[in-house]
Amino acid sequence: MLETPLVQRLRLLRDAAASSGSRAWKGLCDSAYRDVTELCGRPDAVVALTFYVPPEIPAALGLIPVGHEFLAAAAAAIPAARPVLAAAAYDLAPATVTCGYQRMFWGLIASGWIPSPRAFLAATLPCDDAWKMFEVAAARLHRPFQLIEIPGAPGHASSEARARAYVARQLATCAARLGAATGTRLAPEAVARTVELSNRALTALRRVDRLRQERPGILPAPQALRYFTLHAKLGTPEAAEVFETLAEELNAPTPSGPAGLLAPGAPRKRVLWLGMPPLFMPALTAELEERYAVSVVYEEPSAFEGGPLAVKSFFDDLAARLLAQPGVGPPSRRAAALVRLARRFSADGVVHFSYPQCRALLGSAGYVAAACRRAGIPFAEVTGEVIDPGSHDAGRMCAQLEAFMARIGARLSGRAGGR
Amino acid sequence: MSGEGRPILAYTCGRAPVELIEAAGFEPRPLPLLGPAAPPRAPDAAPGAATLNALHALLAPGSCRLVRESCRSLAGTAGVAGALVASCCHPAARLADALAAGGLDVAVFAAALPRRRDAAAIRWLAAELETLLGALLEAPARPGPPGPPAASLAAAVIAWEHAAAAYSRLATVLPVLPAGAAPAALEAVHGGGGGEAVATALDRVRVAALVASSRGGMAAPRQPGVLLSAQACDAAALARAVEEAGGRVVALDACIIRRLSSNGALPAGPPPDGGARRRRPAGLRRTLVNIARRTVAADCPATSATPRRARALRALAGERGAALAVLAADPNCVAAAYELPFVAAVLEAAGLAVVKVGAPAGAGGPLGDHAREVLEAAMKSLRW
Repeated sequence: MLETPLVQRLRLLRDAAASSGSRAWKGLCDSAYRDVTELCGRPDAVVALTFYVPPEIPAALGLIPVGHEFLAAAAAAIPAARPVLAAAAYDLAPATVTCGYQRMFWGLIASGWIPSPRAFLAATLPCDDAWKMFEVAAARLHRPFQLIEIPGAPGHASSEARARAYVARQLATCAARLGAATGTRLAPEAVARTVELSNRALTALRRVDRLRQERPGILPAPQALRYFTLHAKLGTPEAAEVFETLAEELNAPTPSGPAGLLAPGAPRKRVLWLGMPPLFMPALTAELEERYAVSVVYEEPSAFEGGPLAVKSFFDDLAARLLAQPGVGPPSRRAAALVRLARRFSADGVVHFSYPQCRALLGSAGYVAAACRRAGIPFAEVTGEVIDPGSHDAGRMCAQLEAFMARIGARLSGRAGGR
Repeated sequence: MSGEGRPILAYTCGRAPVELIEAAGFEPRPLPLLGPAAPPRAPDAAPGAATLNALHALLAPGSCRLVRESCRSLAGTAGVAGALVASCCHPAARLADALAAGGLDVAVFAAALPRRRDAAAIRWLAAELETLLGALLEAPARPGPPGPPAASLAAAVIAWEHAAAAYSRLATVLPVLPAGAAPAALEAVHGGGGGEAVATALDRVRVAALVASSRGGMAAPRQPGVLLSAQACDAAALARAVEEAGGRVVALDACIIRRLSSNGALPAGPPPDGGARRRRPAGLRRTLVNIARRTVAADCPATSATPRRARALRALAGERGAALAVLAADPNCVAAAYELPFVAAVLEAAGLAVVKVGAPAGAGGPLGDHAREVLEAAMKSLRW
């Protein structure tokens, strides 16, 4: 059978990773390649998820969870995928309104790059785009669709408890319905195994974050943003193993990873990156670091809140974890969480990468800007595209970044001069 | 303050729990068009440009006209005691956040409405509505001392049942009514003023239209019947445009009438008026569950019901004899952007002609020339 360009790209990445010297990177590339080949070979075993849907549910049912944003992001770097995007704009919904992730994912299915997954699980956050696209895709492909409603963050304790109970109930229903639709069921031992794997991954993730805080620049942003895709694989052996290996490699006296795993060199400006960078420009953040002598010390997508899971309270804990994510709730909550993150990583500035069709991020950029201003942290909103290069204005993005870097540089020199 | 002396509480979204607004003693009026009861603010009382700019900066970019205009309307209108921002989409939730962040001297109440349509959603919403009712009853601008909530809520529920019944009476005869009935019906609902006021206005529209038809103004049978589905846009202007293009609106599916046309009628009638103190909580809770059930049943593109809505519209078109479906939405409504192509495909498969109209965005007239041309071309092709 002929390989589609997506499978081919992930195979080449996997082959290159084999000789990179980093076991974590190799594990990540293996996992990505396996996901896509499983989807192409055994689509009935794969469940597509939007962001925030706990992957532990399909994992505990013995199904393979695959984040649809991961597939879209992987395809974004392939020039041959551009017609796929254009076709989806015609077939699914207009490009002027809809987000590139959704168009790319639908385009991959509609153009035959990937088959339809067995089922579609979506959450009402972070945006309306993702779940609405899943609903329409499921209806068109005659596949089961489950929606997890995440209530907007309430301001009082009773509402919070209610929200948690509501989400937990939905997760339990979702597991039961997904099981019924796929002929599987939640076995206690499978739940126990999933809980163990998810907790292991989370513990390792915390270690990685701690190491990144202690040794800024130890894991460059382009690498970190790739590992972030494993958030959609929590509860699987791959996620636990890759995060554990990554923590181990970062903790080694001489990091043995790929080119990305570098010890911090000369003092650099520290930047916190919010949102995703343009995924069709994989070297952007590396170039940015090189050109402006900055270090992207952390990225918002890597932040994962919440505590460990327990077998007894599986759905309750998943609900609590889901509601603990900074992106859940009013934008002021996201803004406060990001200011904490900026302080934790001693960021000299915050770059909010906004893309026009992302209402989730753009809708709260004003709040983040105000919170940063109050906290005395320089902030810049940089605009561009993440998936669709056709609507990306590289010149404008570079000008915005340049101006911001100059601002941070002047501020830091002023501070040094003051001393 | 309205003509009846009740303070006005503006609300967004056709699924908003208007009964709660009435039960708290306010007069509900839908945003963004508040009508003559809420005159413009005096220049010295209007919020400054800086406040408005700050408010707009907090809205989700690409928000639909409904959200943007609601914001502008609240800022520019005097005599509004507060706003209930009901949301089942992110731009509307951002409107609630932006208004709550301050700048305008109106109390803001937020109601997040579920996208799901199941028992869990109803239970959760009922509990949230109880909290919301408590907040409305505590509102500083609320007239008079707090009364028994169960009794006032029961009265409000009955009033809105009357409105739903009046709408139902009008909707069933819509195919035989002369031109003007559909836009008038939409305007009657938009006039707000509470359940009884809406019921009276709708009945008045129906009677006037029937009288006109008995005097020879019956709809021309050759005019193609149109199913008008209008999301987050000026449905009345669209209905008028359809009639001007030579069609007659025989079935409506619009945000503003969502609550009246939902197929989840209140079961078991209203609860007792709560005369006995110990029965009050049970009655109140039951009523809130019924309101939640009605809210959840009143679906729209922003709720998870696309296949069901497509089937319901197909059935409605068949039942009312529509030959053409006009699917209109604000071009920035994301939910509609995904849903409309699916609904259009289902309707087309059933043999219905379908036109999609990117309807009224922003200021500068309710309906663009392009939309009018599309409608006229569609009518022409049908007559041909």
